[in-house]
Amino acid sequence: MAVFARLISSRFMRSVLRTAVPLVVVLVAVMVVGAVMAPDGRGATYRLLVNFLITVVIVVALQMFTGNSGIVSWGHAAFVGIGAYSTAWFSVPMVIKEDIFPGLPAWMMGAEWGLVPCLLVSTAIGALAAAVVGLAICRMKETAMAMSTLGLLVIAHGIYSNWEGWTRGTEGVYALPTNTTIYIACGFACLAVLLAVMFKYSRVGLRLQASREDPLSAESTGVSVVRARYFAWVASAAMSALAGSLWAQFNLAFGPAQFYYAQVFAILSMLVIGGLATVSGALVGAGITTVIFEVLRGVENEGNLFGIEVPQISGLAQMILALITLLILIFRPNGLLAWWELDGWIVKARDRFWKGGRKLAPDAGEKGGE
Amino acid sequence: MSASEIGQQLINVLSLGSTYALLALGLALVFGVMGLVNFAYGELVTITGYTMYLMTINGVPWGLAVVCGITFATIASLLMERLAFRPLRNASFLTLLFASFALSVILQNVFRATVSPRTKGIRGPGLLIESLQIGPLTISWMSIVTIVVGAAALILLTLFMRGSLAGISMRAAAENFSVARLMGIKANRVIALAFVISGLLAGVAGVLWVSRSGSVSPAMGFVPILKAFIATVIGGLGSLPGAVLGGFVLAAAEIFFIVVLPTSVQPFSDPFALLLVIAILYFKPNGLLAPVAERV
Amino acid sequence: MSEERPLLRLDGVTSGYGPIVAVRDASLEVRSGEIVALLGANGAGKSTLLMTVAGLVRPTAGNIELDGSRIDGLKPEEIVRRGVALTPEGRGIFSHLTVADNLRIGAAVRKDRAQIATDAEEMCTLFPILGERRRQLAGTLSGGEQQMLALARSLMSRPRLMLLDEPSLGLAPRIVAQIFEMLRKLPERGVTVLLVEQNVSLALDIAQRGYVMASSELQLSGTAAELRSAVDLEQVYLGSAGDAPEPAATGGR
Repeated sequence: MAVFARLISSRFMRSVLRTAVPLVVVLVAVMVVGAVMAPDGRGATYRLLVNFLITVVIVVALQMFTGNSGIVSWGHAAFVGIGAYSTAWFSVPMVIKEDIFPGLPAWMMGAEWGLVPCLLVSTAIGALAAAVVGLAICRMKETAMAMSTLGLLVIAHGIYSNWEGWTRGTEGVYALPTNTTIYIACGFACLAVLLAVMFKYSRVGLRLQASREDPLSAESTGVSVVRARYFAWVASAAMSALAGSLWAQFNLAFGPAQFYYAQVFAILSMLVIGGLATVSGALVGAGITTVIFEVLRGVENEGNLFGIEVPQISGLAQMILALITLLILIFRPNGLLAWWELDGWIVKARDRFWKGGRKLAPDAGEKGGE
Repeated sequence: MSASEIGQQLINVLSLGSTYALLALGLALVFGVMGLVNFAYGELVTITGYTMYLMTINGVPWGLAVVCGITFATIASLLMERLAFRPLRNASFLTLLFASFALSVILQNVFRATVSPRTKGIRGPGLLIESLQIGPLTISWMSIVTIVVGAAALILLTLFMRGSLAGISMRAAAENFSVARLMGIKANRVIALAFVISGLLAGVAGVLWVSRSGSVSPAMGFVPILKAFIATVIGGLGSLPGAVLGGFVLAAAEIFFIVVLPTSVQPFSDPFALLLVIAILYFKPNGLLAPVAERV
Repeated sequence: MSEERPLLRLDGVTSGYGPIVAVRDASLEVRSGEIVALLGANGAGKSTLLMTVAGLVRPTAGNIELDGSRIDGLKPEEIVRRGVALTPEGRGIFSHLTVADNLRIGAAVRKDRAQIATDAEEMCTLFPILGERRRQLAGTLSGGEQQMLALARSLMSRPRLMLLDEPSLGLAPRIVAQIFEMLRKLPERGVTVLLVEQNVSLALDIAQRGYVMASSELQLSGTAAELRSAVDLEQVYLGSAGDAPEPAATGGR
């Protein structure tokens, strides 16, 4: 019995590693590029790469929930916000805090914590909030749940914009310490990927995917699906809050508008472009979207595309991203990667390269998990 | 609270609720026949608003601007179906939702790039700002017009849906699309019709919305679609009477919190109303008037 | 084997859902004025075959001809205009519509307003209970009444060919007898019938000929009498028809 259990677990680990390793390699490569190009940790490229790595955590977190359950969540940006605001409460220097957060209780006023305690407390607060909200929404039907997460986003935005004593309302927060480096961002991106892959291949994850494929069977196994959903909801919200904390300790100032409609759309687009079903898709989508945004931001702000003068168009980047998302949905509804993780695609490409190689099994990544 | 205050608030509920009901109906109609929660529906309201804005600043009379606003919203709704949603027939709920969300963002940015990224004021007929004194009640003409227009639209729609073959076909298609096709109801036609009526409703609601707020902006469609989405879900997604009921329940919840909350907590009235809605869904996960039959 | 052109002819039809093949290489004929039974176990592919004829499922191979002209690949709404009405399994009545509106929808393909009203009257005399419940929502009817409504609704399109999927499903024997009595008379009204039915003896009582389907294929065919005597239908329903000794009756294949 014990041997059997070990066999299962080792197979499980093998498929996890097979999927996660190529992704970790990509992330580490990004980190190395950043560290080599900007050893002093400054400059636009460095900022871009660190923000990309943090974005990966955010998108992978959403993939954990939406990708496995098939239920859209508009609410995850709210949890990113919870992470960011909680970090501000515990890390902004006291002198400034008395000015911008007059509502904080005395013991929080004095807190000037470092990276790790801030990450921990933000994740915990995010998880707690998700645990409470999840009790209500995880048992709803898909449509009602989609609406409720949208409601959640609006509620959170209302709170961030109006809870003056704790959030400084629409004026926003500033003076957070810079604690997130490219190494830390990369470390957490790798951790997020590993956790998401493990969840995908875990029993709970598989049950959730089964409920996505076949809503009828999901209803017949009612309780267990709601539980699986709840678990994924809390875990992915906690991860989003963690990402929010990392992000806040790198970008140092923010306001409620940073956790709203535009961000939600960007995150969802990344997921759709890469493909909902895979963790690799989240990473690929985040990469492609970051590049598109970076190229088009030049056009939008300076009227400059690769050095060529073009007319300034307001909102161009977002519009192009939306257009790409729509086209992907029409012509490749399962996203660029569809059902294959990156390792599956690598094997596929290799087999095509060595012509005459064996015909590839449909999903090399999934196969290991059987 | 005195009786006259209660009366005053009831009128507010009726007026806000009828706007929400119209919006929710348009969303529910399309969901019924196609399983799509059309997130770009809010942009139809924006299109109405911008049409009216651009026409009135160029000296076109208000009445004509209203007619054109509604017409353009209807045409835009039909175009959405042809260009974006027809290729996605039979796609999953999630795919359709994402697609309409993307479409909504595209349109918002088109408005931003072509008209203006900034909020623009729009002036309606002066009469709408004035009020009427009936006994102890002060009723704005805006409320009266809203309630009358809302009631008229609801009655016309009910007559159409119950009395005409097209309306009955649409209800049949909403209940079971495949069987409706077996009866000879043309899929393309019934879906196009749903989008046309949905566009009409968005247009009418848009006129009311813009007249009340007095301004137009590229992202203004978010609030109407949010309200419509909430109302349809509370009522039971897919149920037309449910959409109307949901609209009034949502309006009542919002106005209730505006009335009872102290001034210091006033900014949180909308979040409170949303929490109440989520609480309703906790106890009635399928909404108040959930349709009995499943879509096939 | 037939000299005249059959009303419905399937030739090598294969169809299914995505990668799943539910009907494989099916060939059959229904001649004008016949009642033909299509028998077989649950999941044998009978419903899919009917849905393929009606256009709800697209065949991946083969021809379907109605009165000599191809109908495969047409949309369901076009096929019903050519006179084919499918009464789906589970009846598929519109429960949120009134009985009268269900009948009206049944005639959606027709333009002759006055005649439609007369036909609706006639349905209410054919099934008096529908006349009594005209203004009621169809969802409030009993199972048997719903089945009658489904049949009446199909008849409202004035079909040449009716495809009936399990009209006896879940109904009390008394009601079933009543419904089958009415089905038997359909050819007199100029309606040809292809009937899918689990209840073999009932089906063979009213049918002239029949086909037996098992594991996605038409396994055998013959006249009602032949099928009744030649085949141990039990075996078919256990899904082992392929192993059964070939019966004498193979007419119509």
